[in-house]
Amino acid sequence: MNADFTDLRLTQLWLLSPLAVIGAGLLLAQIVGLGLHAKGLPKLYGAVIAGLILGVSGFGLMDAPLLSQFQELSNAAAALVLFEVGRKMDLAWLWKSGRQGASLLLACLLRGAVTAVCLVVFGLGWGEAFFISAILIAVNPIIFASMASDGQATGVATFAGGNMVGLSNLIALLALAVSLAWIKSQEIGNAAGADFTAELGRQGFKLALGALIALICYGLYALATRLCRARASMRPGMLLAALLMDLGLCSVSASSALLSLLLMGLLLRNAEKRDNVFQAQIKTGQDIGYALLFMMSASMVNLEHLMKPAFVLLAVVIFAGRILVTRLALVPAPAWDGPKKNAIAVSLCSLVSFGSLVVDNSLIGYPGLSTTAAQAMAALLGLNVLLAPGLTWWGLKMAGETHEESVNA
Amino acid sequence: MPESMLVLPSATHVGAAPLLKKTSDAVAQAAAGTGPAFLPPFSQSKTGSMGIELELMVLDRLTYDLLPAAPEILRLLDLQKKDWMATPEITTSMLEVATSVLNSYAEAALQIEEMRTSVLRAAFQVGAAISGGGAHPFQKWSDQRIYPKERYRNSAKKFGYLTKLFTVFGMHVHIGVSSADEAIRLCAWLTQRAPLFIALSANSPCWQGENTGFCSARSNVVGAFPMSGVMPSHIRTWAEFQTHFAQLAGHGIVHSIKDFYWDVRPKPEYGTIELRVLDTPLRPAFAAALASYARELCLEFFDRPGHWPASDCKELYVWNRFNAAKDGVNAIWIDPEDGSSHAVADVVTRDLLRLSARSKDPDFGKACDLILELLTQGGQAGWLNVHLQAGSGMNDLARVASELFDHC
Repeated sequence: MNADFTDLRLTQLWLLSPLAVIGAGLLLAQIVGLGLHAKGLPKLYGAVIAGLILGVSGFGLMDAPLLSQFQELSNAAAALVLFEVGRKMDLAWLWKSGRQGASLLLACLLRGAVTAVCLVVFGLGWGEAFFISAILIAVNPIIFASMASDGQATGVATFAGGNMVGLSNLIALLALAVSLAWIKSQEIGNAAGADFTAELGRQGFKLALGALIALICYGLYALATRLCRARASMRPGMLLAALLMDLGLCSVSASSALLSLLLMGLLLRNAEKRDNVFQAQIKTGQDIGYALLFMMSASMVNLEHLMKPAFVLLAVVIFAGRILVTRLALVPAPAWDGPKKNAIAVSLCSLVSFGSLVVDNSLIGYPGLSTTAAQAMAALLGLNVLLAPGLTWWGLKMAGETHEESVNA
Repeated sequence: MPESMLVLPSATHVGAAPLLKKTSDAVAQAAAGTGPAFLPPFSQSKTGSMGIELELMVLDRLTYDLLPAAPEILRLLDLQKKDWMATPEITTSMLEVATSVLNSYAEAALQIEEMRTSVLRAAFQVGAAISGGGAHPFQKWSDQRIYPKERYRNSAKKFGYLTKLFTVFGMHVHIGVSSADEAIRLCAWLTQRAPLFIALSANSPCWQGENTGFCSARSNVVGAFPMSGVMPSHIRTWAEFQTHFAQLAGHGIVHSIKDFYWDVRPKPEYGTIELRVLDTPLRPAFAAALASYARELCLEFFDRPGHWPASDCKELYVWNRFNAAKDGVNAIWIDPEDGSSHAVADVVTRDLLRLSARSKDPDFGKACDLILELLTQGGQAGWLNVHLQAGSGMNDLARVASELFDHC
């Protein structure tokens, strides 16, 4: 009797403290991750495994209601990642490198096209297919950045990958604005043309407002650093403050946080000529953020979605198709040899969810999809969590750009 | 002569073409550690011809940290038709470019500018930046990656962490000499004046993220290798050098001339002596000027046959070298010939005046102007120190260096 009472109190304690559950998950992620790392495997799979064990596919300790309590934390972590994506985009190189930049742009367009074709062949309508394929243009910034960090990857393929992540997210965002406008105009049931134009205007306004917020926040950051003549090593705090302001303003105005944060990174890299802040040492924070985001993603994966052969087959075909067309798009670029191109294509295989692309206040996907489309998306996201980190890690290893452990290697 | 040392007759014998091939193969195998120790015969070359090698930094365009992108840049440069060469170096963030045989300052300046623009273009294509400078200000030696080539992997096994620590960037000047014995004599003379070149080229005040207080931190890194230093003063002829090489090869200490990390060494396969003490200039234009200065000095030494340096005091050389690395163009140099102390700037200025009067190179005056400008401005390390004193961080210092290379 006494023992039952104690058990009950312990369970309640866990359930009443979401923070303790998240903390326990992170601890489990670190333990498993370090074990994997010792065997030469990516340690972020520790977060995937922890998420699967504690999430909806496992003990159910972490679910959407619990995670929604950490939405702000999740958004802040996502903000840092998105800022980093913008910071890795080299506009001058993308514009002036000729066939290199063009091939990355082509890869983005082909990824969308091949996904749309697969989905239509599977039986989805063009509207939904376009919507999902717009999302699937994007490379997952968390997966790419965390795997590059995990392997201490640096080199030309990592550089190209970093640029592709930013470019693909920007293009996906623009395509998604058009696609959302179309889908919403269809939902309303009015004359498609008129509503579509109005809806497109609304989506465009969100993007423009996000860009404006980025300009204001960057301006404040630049002003603050100049007023106090802060050296580079003193600026990470100011930068973090500016990013949080950006994220908060985007949140209350329902404008595009992704565009805004990407733009912040872009501005800092491409407009800031004075002593730079590029070496803001936030690596430890980033690594914890990656683990947190991975675990949250994994906890939402319902393995049941991967028990339906037709949807799994579709997801695998789309994954393979995206890798293949990315590789094809890289053919005209002379800066990389064949093995590097293969490595780049594989390392950019990951995809994003609707929620992470728009950094909205919901961890659940866009609700306006049909059941078939939602199941297809769920299978894709499940496969993404399970496969994409490993493939990305393997791609970076193929590129030969991960760190040597031994001096004598 | 030890059994492990391959001996080939002079390359001037009958059937010289296949012999030359055999010689170059033997040199390559010895350098890679895959063949027996080998010292080739000293090739003849025109006295006063010159060649310049520059080791360049490959940088990340965002952080200006070293970027292991040299293999991709080399691949693009290999597609280009050119008179000069681009080759790998010990780690993948290093790139070496070497001119063809040059005969004047104008030729050198022209080819170096062509090299600069080509390397910049190839680097940009793969997403990298390029910089001169003797040492990267904040790279971590342990982050560097050994170039995937047999010779470098063997070096890594032999020297351990020193191999990665050797991610420093020097300029080497080759001066052609017509005979092997004269090459040994000119090595001795040029060694005596090598500290002047350390002072003039010094541009690496920072190392591993710290301001070292030296103008050339790179110079101190080279000293960690067991075969660094200077050619022993008792060596007065090529035959004596061959004997010295054979003794060391017998102990398994050296396999090829590349194993001597001396400040000035003979390079028999090219028929040159090689001055190896300079930091790679921040502005490549200085490379041609400094090389021309070394060349004119050698021509002057050459015109005094039979003369040898009066002093063989190694400690005096080491002291002059230390001062030059520490204080750059503001250093004091003790003349080994008479023991008098002089400011480096005064010694160089007097050298240039004297050499200008006897030089047959119509453009040597332009080289002198550049060197005098360098002295007036307080040296290249001085440029970087101005930024450090203004509060620039290490990343910024690397960016400034890269921009100096971009806008030559």
